Amino acid sequence: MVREAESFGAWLGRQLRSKGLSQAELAKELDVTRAAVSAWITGRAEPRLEKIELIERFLGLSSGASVNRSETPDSTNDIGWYHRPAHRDGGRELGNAAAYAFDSDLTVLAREATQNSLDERFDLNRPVRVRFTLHELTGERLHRFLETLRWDELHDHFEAAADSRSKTGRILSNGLRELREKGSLVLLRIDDYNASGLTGPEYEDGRFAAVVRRQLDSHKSGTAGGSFGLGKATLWAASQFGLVMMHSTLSEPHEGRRERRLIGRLDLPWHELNGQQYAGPAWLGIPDPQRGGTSRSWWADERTVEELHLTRGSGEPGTSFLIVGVHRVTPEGDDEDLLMTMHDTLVRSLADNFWASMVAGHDSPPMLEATVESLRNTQTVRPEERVDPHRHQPSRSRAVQAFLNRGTVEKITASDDVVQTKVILSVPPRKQERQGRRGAGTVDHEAVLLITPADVEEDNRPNRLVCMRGNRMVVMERVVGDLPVGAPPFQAVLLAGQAAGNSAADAAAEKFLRAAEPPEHNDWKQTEDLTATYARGAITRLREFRKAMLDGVRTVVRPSETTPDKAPSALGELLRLEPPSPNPSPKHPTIKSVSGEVTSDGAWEIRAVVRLPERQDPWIMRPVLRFGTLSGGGLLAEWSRVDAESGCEVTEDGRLWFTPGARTAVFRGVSEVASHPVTANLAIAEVDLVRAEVTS
Amino acid sequence: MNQFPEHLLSLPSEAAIGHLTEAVLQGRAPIPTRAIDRAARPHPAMELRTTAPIRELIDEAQRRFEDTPTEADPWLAPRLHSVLRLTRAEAADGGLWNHLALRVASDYVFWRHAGRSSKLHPVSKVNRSRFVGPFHTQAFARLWWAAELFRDGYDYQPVVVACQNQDILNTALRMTVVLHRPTAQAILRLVADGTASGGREANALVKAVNAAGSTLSFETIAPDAEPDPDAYQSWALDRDDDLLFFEKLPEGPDDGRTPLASVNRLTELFRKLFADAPVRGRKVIKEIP
Amino acid sequence: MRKLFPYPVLVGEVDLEIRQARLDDVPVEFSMISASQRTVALHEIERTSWQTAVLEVRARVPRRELDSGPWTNVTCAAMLFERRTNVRTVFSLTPEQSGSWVGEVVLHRDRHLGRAELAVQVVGTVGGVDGRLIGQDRNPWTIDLLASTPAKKHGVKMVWVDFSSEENAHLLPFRTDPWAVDTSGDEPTLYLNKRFEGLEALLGSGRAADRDVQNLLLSHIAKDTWTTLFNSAVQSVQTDDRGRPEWPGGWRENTLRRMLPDILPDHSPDDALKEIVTRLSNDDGGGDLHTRVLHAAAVQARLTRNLGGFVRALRRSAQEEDQ
Repeated sequence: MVREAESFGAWLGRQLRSKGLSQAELAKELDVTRAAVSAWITGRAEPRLEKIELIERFLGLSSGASVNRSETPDSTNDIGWYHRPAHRDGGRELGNAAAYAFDSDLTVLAREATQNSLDERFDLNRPVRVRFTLHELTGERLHRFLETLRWDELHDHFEAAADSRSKTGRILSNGLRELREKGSLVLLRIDDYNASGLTGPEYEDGRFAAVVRRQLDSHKSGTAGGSFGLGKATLWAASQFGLVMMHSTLSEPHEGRRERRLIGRLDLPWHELNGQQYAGPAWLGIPDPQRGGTSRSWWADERTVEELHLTRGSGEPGTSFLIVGVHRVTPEGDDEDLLMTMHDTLVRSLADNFWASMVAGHDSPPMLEATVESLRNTQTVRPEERVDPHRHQPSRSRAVQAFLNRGTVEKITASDDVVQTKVILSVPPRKQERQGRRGAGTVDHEAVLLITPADVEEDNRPNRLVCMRGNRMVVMERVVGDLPVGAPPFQAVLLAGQAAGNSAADAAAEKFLRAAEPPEHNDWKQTEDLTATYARGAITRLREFRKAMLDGVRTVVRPSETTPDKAPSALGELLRLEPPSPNPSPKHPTIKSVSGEVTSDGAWEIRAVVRLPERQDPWIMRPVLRFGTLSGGGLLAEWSRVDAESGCEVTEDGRLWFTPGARTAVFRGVSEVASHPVTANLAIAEVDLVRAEVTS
Repeated sequence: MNQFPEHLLSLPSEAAIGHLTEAVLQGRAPIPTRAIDRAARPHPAMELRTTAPIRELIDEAQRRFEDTPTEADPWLAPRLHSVLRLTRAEAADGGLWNHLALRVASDYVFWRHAGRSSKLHPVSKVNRSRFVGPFHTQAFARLWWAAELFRDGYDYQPVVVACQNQDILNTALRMTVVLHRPTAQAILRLVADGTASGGREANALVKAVNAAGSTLSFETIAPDAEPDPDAYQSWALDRDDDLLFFEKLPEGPDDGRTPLASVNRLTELFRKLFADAPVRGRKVIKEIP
Repeated sequence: MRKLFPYPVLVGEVDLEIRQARLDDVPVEFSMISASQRTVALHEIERTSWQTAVLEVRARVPRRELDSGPWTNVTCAAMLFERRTNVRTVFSLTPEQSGSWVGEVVLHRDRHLGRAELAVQVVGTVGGVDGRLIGQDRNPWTIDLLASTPAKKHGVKMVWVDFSSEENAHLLPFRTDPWAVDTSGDEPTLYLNKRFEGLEALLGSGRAADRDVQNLLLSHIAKDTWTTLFNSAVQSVQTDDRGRPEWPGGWRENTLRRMLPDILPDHSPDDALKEIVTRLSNDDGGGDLHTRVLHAAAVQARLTRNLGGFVRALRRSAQEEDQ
């Protein structure tokens, strides 16, 4: 927002670069020596006023532009796609190799993208905010969007690359077909706020280049797991067209600017068009004359940002990724359902993986806030929904919150108590440490183990241990087995590395465990990184740690006293004394259902359906009416009349003579008020059948 | 009778039942006291009680109601309750009652529960369950529980009313409705005021209340005040300091009386129930074959 | 048998959760409370002299059904019931949030002995009648004062004892038997004789080779037990003032209800009970009744399967020896 005070020289140098002009050309135009121009640019000297006016005119700027260091807003007309020519050696890439490491599903995407945002958190005293917006475009809005994207320039490339013989090619041709047939496109926008943003130069080392220019560059810093490493490939993998637009607000200025740095990147496989061979990748930007027409990022005006649906919600630093044509979860079916399903998938993935990062304590803000919103043609379909960890993972969130608030207990006595113990991880020395410094040895890290009773409402799978490091993203979920019968269901959380604290040992454990994570960050196991970085014994230490955490849980969960049942349990099975479960098809007539009510003169009027088992001889039963009692077997009442409705006849003495062969029968009855042991509307009526073969 | 044991002990049912042979129940063979003394042991949680005051009471009951044993119930129930001073947890242990019936006062059981001879059973005998049996049947347990469930705080008078009516004692005692004190007191009030004083009437009343209890929460309509366990405990501890009079009704534990408003409310409700209930002999009911 | 209420009652589920248990104000470990077993164990070896236990409970009722139904003045209460001490106490709960009620249930040591039942009841005004029971939980909790682990006890009590020891004088007559069944107490007990050589070792063996013999033996023990339980239960049946047999309740009723369908399959349980009581009181020996009882006991003891397995194993080992 507020421009840093920039020297005239730096400004001038940038203007020349952006116009593709050399210092020599300017010197010739102004009729000065090259050395003079060089002195201006390096800040050793400043030009006189009339020279400045000439410079402004030469650069096509308004008078005074150099004083307020205003920029040539990069002209929208200059924006275009640059396609990388094919390798001269004829090598072909048939898709982005990194993208193959991941499935193109939303769950993985949400996990990878959010992990990157967490790792790029800027102000560590505030949460990084991540917004997921699903946006379906149709009709005129779709048309305008594609126009801004210079879709026309791309279309032929898409057609050329949509070779059904490769996986990427098939995905691409599907995408094109869907766009044509449905006339709609789903955008997924992922914004982060209070993150670093895509800082750094266009081509050299930095966050920008790591994301936009390079593959597999993780630009690691701090506790980052794989900040913009392999994970960024999921962004492109999520797009049917391999197309992602980026808009970043930088945390530190580049070229003296922070806002609206835009670039687009397209990942196509190798293809040939009009006799030209292309490597595949392409960038949307303004041409960089110094790099032979390569597209570079541009500082966009607000209107362009608006048309690309990339306007950011605030001036806070961070990046917006727009995935164009996100894979549809359900290819066919209702589009309303499509957005809903995708929305729910995103919420679930965020809740499952980052619930712990979203938990706040009394005096510790959450590390992350995440929301999901769904739109169609800018109209709200599902309003912005904040992912609430306590709703999705109540018992685990309670555990982490109790830790943050120092409210854990030593012994669980209530259903919301959280027990805290520790699990030791012996972190072996790094290889170079051992060679270099003397005395650098194994450090003991105390990981925090939290255990709490599983919430009864929670339909979650109980008796599990969830493990995490500094950013509190779920690394893995382990089943705790070998539990005693009757142990109450629980949830356990292991906070390792810098999730446990900020000591040197915690930091060492953080590094160690990060090295033990595969690219998916879903396990702590033997990795190449681990064996390459750490001294011998690293694998054993890790194995001990994995065992110790399960043992730790079991120690807490196991009831303190267990009296072994010495009698053989198989015998107990044979001597169970609880009432039998009801037989669904008994071999005697039963009342299957009954309905009825108390009439105004106080009698029960009842209709009963009877289920009859097969028998050659007719069943003869007497219908019985009882008044239920609080204790004991009920009190008999009498019928004033019984009528057959179907499948039976009523004998003179009120018995039911069921039609031979009938499987169901219906009868009606009215109770005799004088026989009621209590007023009808004060007791439960029980209807039953008793055997009555013999007239007595 | 042999010498009575000095203390009231606990005799496990499995040990007791083996000694109750037909000959013993018919009074033709003595109860083997030695074997019983070997199997009996002190109640694990209860302080030892001497049997002397209990014996005194039993002897007096048999003297007073020599020819009308049934009438001993209303006299004995409150006094037995007052002499024993057991907690409910202690009284729930059948071993005490077994010991009382088989070893301390078997003479009372034979006297009070002598069966009548019939064609099927020509020799009269006492039912086994009067010695070893459920609380509502065992000779002493039924009296103690009647006193405990029907007393109104320290007032044993309702117990006398209940035990004067064998239908209440036999039918109501085993029903869960009377575990709610206002319900029990309301029933006894209708028995005492003549509304349902006869056996059949009392029976019909109790059954109607039991049926209505399947749809009505008497506890909600007429809340009870929780008895004061500390008052009960101090009464139980005072047992050696109290002298029991034979004429005057003793006072029970002062652990709180039943809320009067609740009893009044249920009395009126039950009076209505009873008005609609058929009483055998009052209205003609066709018997079901 | 089907029941009809003379007024609308709740169809949705009512549930009770026990959140904490305290003995004289000191909480017990939460592992003593088992929601899956619906049992609370209150016996802690080192704290046996407590006077008062307090349970913190929360009841949940189907809120939407309640809001849209005809009920007014709805209240919710926890009901504590122990048959052996004749305690049936109701603790009214306080509404916390919609559909959820909380409160405390108090147990005084002097008024409880073994296992108490804890259930919820929902009460309301319907059709102008106050205090109607409109809902109950189907699965009450057990508060077990004698258990140190919250496991549901649903079988016959089994104990290993020395039949010839003075301690168990009542077992002396059976000292040469491998087992004995006792049905006189509040719960039936199966005594297994420690003195019977090899019995404990065989039943406790974990060897796969012993499995078939073990199962056969267990079936045998179980069949004996069921037969004894049945005879004892049927003899305890009393008749009401109209001569109808009454279900005896407790383990006796459960035994009868488990076995009667195999004894008289074409009779309803009520009819079967009546038939059997009648047959036993006649002087004609009850016909084939005793044969049927043995059959039903064999079914409970899974004799067919276990004997079949044993025979098959026997044949298999015979073949192995032939080779």
